[in-house]
Amino acid sequence: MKILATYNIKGGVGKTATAVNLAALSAEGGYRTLVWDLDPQGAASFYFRIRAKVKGGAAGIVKGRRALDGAIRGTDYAGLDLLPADFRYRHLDIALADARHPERRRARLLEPLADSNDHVIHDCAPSISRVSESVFEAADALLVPTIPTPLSLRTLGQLLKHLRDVPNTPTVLPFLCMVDRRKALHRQFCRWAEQASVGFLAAAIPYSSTVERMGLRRRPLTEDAPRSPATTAYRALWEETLQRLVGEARLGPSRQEVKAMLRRLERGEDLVGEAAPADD
Amino acid sequence: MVTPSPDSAEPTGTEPSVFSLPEAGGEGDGASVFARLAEAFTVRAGPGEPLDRTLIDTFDARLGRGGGDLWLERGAERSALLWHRRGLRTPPVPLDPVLLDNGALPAFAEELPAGRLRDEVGALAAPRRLMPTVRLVGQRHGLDVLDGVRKTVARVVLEERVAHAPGRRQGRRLPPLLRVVPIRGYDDHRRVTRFLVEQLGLTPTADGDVAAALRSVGRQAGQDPCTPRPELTPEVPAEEAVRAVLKELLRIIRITEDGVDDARDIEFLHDFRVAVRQTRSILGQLREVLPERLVAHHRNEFRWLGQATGPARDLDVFISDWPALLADLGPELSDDLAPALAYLRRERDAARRRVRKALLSARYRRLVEGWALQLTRPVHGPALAEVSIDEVAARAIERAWRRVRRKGRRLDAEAPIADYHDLRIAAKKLRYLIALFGGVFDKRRTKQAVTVLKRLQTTLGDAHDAAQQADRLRAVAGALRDDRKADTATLLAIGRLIERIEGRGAALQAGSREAHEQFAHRRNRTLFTRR
Ligand SMILES: Nc1ncnc2c1ncn2[C@@H]1O[C@H](COP(=O)(O)OP(=O)(O)OP(=O)(O)O)[C@@H](O)[C@H]1O
Ligand SMILES: [Mg+2]
Repeated sequence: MKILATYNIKGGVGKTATAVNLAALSAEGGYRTLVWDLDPQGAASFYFRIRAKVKGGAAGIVKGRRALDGAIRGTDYAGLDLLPADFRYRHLDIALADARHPERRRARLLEPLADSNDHVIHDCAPSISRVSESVFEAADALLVPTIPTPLSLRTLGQLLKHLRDVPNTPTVLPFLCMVDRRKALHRQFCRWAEQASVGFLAAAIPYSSTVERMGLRRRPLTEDAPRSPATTAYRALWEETLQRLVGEARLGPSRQEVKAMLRRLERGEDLVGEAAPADD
Repeated sequence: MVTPSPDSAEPTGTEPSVFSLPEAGGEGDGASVFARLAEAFTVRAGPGEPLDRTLIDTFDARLGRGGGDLWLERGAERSALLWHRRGLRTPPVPLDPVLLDNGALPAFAEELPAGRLRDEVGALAAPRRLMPTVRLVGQRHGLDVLDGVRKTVARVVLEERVAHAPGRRQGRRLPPLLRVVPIRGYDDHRRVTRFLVEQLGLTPTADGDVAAALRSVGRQAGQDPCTPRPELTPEVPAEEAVRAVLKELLRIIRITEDGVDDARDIEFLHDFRVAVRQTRSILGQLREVLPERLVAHHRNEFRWLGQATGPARDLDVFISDWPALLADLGPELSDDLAPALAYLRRERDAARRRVRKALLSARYRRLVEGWALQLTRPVHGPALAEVSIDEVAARAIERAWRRVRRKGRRLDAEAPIADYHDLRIAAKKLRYLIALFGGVFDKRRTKQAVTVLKRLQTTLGDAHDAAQQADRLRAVAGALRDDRKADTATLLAIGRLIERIEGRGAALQAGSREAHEQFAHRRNRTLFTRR
């Protein structure tokens, strides 16, 4: 079982859209897939039209293994299940803090799922909390949607800095999201990301009204617009992610690598910011 | 595209959620049921899609008997394996379309894509070959039951199928099947099922997909076709009963004979041989109820068949035991022994060629065809043929039991291996009688008798294999030396292996004597005698 998460400290960058669409692609590929909606807002659950509450709330989940199983809901798609967000998730934070090794708890919680799932994809809320800490600890890889602006690089840097202190760092897979090719800044940013060696995946998700429309259609793009450019981009992103997941060990960057990346990011902030010509 | 699959979840346990419907066009057919559902629930009808799925199992139905079904679903865009066991269903495991285009199914569990499906199927099926059992071709129509936000909360699936035996064009139409499929975490399927039962008056069928499909190709779900199942009652005249059993054994000989050539699935040859030996044993032990001229000739012919196939089986077993024999001997020794294994393989191939020749011979053809004819022809045998089978079988079982006791008591620490062999054969004869005619006696008693006897047979069998394997290795060493195919290291390694096997053999002989003591204990007497 591989454990993934879409994560960014920043909000509204496409974490949920990514989690939902990659999960659908995973299931389509025959992998038994579970989306764990960790955002109290429940956006991922909303996209799958699932509004169930978790019995016993967060405390129940942290304690019992069976509780988790009973809370899982089937989506409309084969091989794709979802653990819905619950208003009481607010308490997951507190419940995890109470547990003796809060970070290791998640890995243990996920263990019994290994039998029936190939991929677990967490959709995280935009914050650093006990919940996200537990995700960092358990995940094999973090997918980090990044909007092409100088400020996003700072946020990415913050995440990398933070992860230095997490034992057993997950692989960090930043990728560009909501890219608008009409904007000079975006073009400039993409060019920089391609050769800056800060770990950006090659696949980038374009800014697209098809993605926006998901909130109305409440279906993953594979269903709603299987041939649209955005779907194609998510497909490429998923394939690249799968390739990076091959092999057993978690291949997070070393401290040195992180240091070098941070330096490059800082330089990038300046470069991208200054060199970008004004939009025509 | 992510296709909604009716297999994403499955009713658990005995939930009455499968219904057999009249053919399309008839009253209460699938279309009319869908129409009624659409009036009562918020639904969304999916497009009809072609259905093509093949049930895969080993020849002796190990998956089915283990409570699992393995389906190969062929789709226009891709094909996948589905595994379902004890209420747990794996999502489709996609198969390489290139492989499938060439008609190549994964033939052994180890060739399946890694994962839970392979683990579970392998644990049940190994070492046997996976093969198609029945293929269902037809149409599938889905109807999603939706909630207020149009989320699917239950699914109704209608399947119209024609069942084909593997490789047959001609098929048999099965009654359309309507299934209510729950979605994980929702219990709306209950409402739907209740509606079908209470409002539409449908009666759930216990008959799942698998049972109906198998029956259409003459098989029974969860049954090993290589187990003889004569229909016997205690009062059936003995001759008739014996004929019924012999017919069953001939059936097994005929269904396994094509697989006997399979060098990778060695169990075909084994099942074939068991049926041959059982036939011969019955002809000997119950000859009194059969006409003399039926017995003498065929006993001889079945002995020939047994002998023609014996060496191949022994070598099959030896080669498949090989890794276990070498376990913890260290890797160097296993290298040294490689020429011996290669020699055994060559011997096995030669033995298997002889088996093939025997089965292709006119003598074999005459035997099985003549035998089939004899078994149907009503010949009035000796007077005993009028006695009921329970009388005759009970007497024969007691006789066989006494023989086992007598032969076992002769054994002491000095007894030659031939005496163990004799005892082994006697025990086998007894076992065959119980296996083939035990059905006319009390079930529990029969089962207990088998348990008691099995213990003895296992140690005797292992002791026999050990003695035989040691002898064979001596012969292999001699041959390799004569052909100058072995260096000293190999000969020494063979020597060590022989020593080890003989050490085990001695322990097994002692174990056999002990097992016999247990077997012959007074408390077991009533299991084999009527007093
Ligand atoms: N590639 C895209 N093109 C256009 N709009 C997008 C794209 N990706 C996401 N959006 C839209 O941006 C908004 C935020 O996206 P999303 O909810 O996926 O982000 P998020 O990071 O999960 O947000 P939050 O931090 O609130 O959880 C949504 O309205 C979504 O439809
Ligand atoms: Mg979100």
